[in-house]
Order: sequence, then structure tokens, then C-alpha cells
Amino acid sequence: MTGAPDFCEPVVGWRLWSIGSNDGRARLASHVSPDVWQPGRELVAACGARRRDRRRPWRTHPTDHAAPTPGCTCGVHAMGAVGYLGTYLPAPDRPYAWMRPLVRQAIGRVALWGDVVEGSRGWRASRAYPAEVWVPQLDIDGHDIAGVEDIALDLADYGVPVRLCDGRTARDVVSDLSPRGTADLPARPTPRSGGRGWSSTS
Amino acid sequence: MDIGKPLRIYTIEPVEDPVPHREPEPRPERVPLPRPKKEPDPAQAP
Repeated sequence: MTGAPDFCEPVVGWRLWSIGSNDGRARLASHVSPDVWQPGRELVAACGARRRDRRRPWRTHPTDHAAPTPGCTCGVHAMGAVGYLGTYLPAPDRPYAWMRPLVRQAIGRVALWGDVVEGSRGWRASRAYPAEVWVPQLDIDGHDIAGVEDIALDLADYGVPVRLCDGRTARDVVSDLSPRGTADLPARPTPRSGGRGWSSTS
Repeated sequence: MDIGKPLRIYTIEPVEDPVPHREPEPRPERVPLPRPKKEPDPAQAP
């Protein structure tokens, strides 16, 4: 995309991270992609989807487009309200097999900028950085997460507020934050020149 | 995550950098607290 930007402030949405170890320190990681969010560095999205070869459909090729693209699902995802995250939280009787082991996960607000696709429930963007992080002290079964204080200490490297939620599971944290998240729903930046409208083909 | 029905696409160029630039601080080491020195019991003093 070229020309003057449409907005000059990032949008701020809600998302979940898994917490992994990188060089011995706890780091935020995406649930479904191998991306690790590095402190002090924006995360730049890339499309990991593959398209089928028309002549040889058993073969696939990487897509050539920059993320995000309207017809794809690529980009850094964030939701417009924290309550929407509840769908993506595993419950003891409803684990998500497609997610990484979620013993350790974090809930947070994330700043999004660059190219942004806005949906009815959230955004997909080309660039992102955490804005605020909540770390539950309990796993989905209500058991203490080992070393959670050390995890929170490591996450302070991001230079954004990190909150350790005593006696809370991820589901509790989402529930506690929900009124605030609802209030954030119309969190759109002030338009500079107006966004470009477009219609979905799906 | 399902962001719902796509509504529009736009570009954002923040005036202020959303990334706080600072070096990660070295992780503080856990050190055992110094034990308080025991005062000699005056009743047992010779």
C-alpha cells in the first residue's frame, strides 16, 4: 500500500499469548504460529499460508502476498473486546488441540499498526507490540503455575506494564477484565483522511 | 482468532513509536537473606 497513512495512532486490541522460554527467559509467543515476540522489537507479520498448485494440486507453494491481506487470515490478530477471548481459552473439559500446551499463558492488550484489516470483532495487522500484559497465577485446572513470579519478571523486559494475577486462571482474568474490554470496543484511532472501504468477497 | 466480517482496510503510521526502546535489565539474582546474629543469652553468660 502506498500514499499517506489513514491514521497516526495504533489501534489497541486484546489477545492471548502462550509463554515460552527463549534463551532462558520467558517470552511471549503466538498460539498458532512459531513467532516469538522479542522485547524492544516490533513483530512484523508474514503470511504462513500455502496455496495449491493448479496443475499439481498435491503440491503447495507459499503465498506471495504481504500480511495482512483481506482474502487471507494472515497478520497479527487482536480482538476488539477482551470478552471475545473467552472463546479461545481452553477449559479442563474442552482443551484446544491446535494450541500449544497452555499451562502458561498471558492475556494482554496489543498495539497494532502498519497495514490493518478491520473486522467486526477485531483486527489483523502487519506490525504489533504488546501494550499491557496480565499473567495468571493458576493454570486451567486451578493449580499453581511453577515460577510464575520469575515469568512476570522476565516479561518486564518488554517495557510495558506486567501484572501478576494472584489466585486467578486465564479465564478468571478475562472475566475480571471484561467490563473494561467492552468499554474499549470503539477503540479506533482518530481518522486523518478516512479509511478505504472495501467489501468482503466471502 | 476470528476477527469477524472484514469491514475495511487502512494504514496506520504512528507518530510516536509504540515500541519502548530500552535494554532488557539483567535478571536480579536471588540471594539468601543474611541470618541475624544471635545475641549471647545473658542468663547463660559466665
